[in-house]
Amino acid sequence: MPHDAAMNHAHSTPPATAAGGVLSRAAFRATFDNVRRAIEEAMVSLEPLALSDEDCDSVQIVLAEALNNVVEHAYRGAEPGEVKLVLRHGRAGLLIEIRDKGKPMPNGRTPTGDHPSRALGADELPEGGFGWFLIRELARDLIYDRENGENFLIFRMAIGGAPR
Amino acid sequence: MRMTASVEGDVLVVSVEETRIDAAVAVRFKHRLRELSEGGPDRVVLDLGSVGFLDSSGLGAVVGAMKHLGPGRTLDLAGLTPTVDKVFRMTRMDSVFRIFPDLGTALKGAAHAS
Repeated sequence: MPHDAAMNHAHSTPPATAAGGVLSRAAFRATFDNVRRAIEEAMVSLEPLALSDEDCDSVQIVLAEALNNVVEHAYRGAEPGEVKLVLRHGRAGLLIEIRDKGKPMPNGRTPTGDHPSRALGADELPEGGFGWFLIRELARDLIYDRENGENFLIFRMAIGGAPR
Repeated sequence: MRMTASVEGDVLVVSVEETRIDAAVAVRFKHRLRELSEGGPDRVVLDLGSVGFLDSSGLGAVVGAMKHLGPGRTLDLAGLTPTVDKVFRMTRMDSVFRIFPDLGTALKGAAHAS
């Protein structure tokens, strides 16, 4: 796969024990392939934390859902713009910050994340709408805001023995 | 999308030879799965043993493929790795499919399938 020239990843040295230390910062053009690569790099930056497999799974799932939403919805029908991802680690767990300059969330709010079957008949199976359900299940203290045309999503993952 | 299909007895086995089924490949995965499961035995087993990660778009594609098979045909899953299994469990889609630990068990399971 050709390397995307617009992609610009930079990692700081992870301070494994510092409270609130930045583990990684990345900025990349919003495409599904770049999201895949950004997740791989983010997971490498978490290695010093020696997380359980279960915690790694949770982080990987939540990153995929939140970042793919930016590609799929924020930049829908537009030239894919930039996504910024910052991971910080502290006593509260892992703080994930995602910024983009795409469209705002519908009605300026994050989706409720109900199980998609709620909106369907009893014998109908959902083929979509699982993304926000998974984010709501896995993320804590989620904040969404928009300033100066930029979407700002920040949430906490209660991993590595952090308070739930 | 590297995927292969073979007939084992009265089972159509579709194997995914990719490590991720995510938004980058979900559409291709869905089309390929439909193509490979067109016709053939009524029972289809999707072997996900090589897939280390699946996101909500991959999950949606698997559910969509099952619905596309229509009544009278079944889609069973085999070899869910821990992360893939977690996504199926969390979304409760594990109750919608028969899930076997690996392909061998799924094929033996065929003998007992009604």
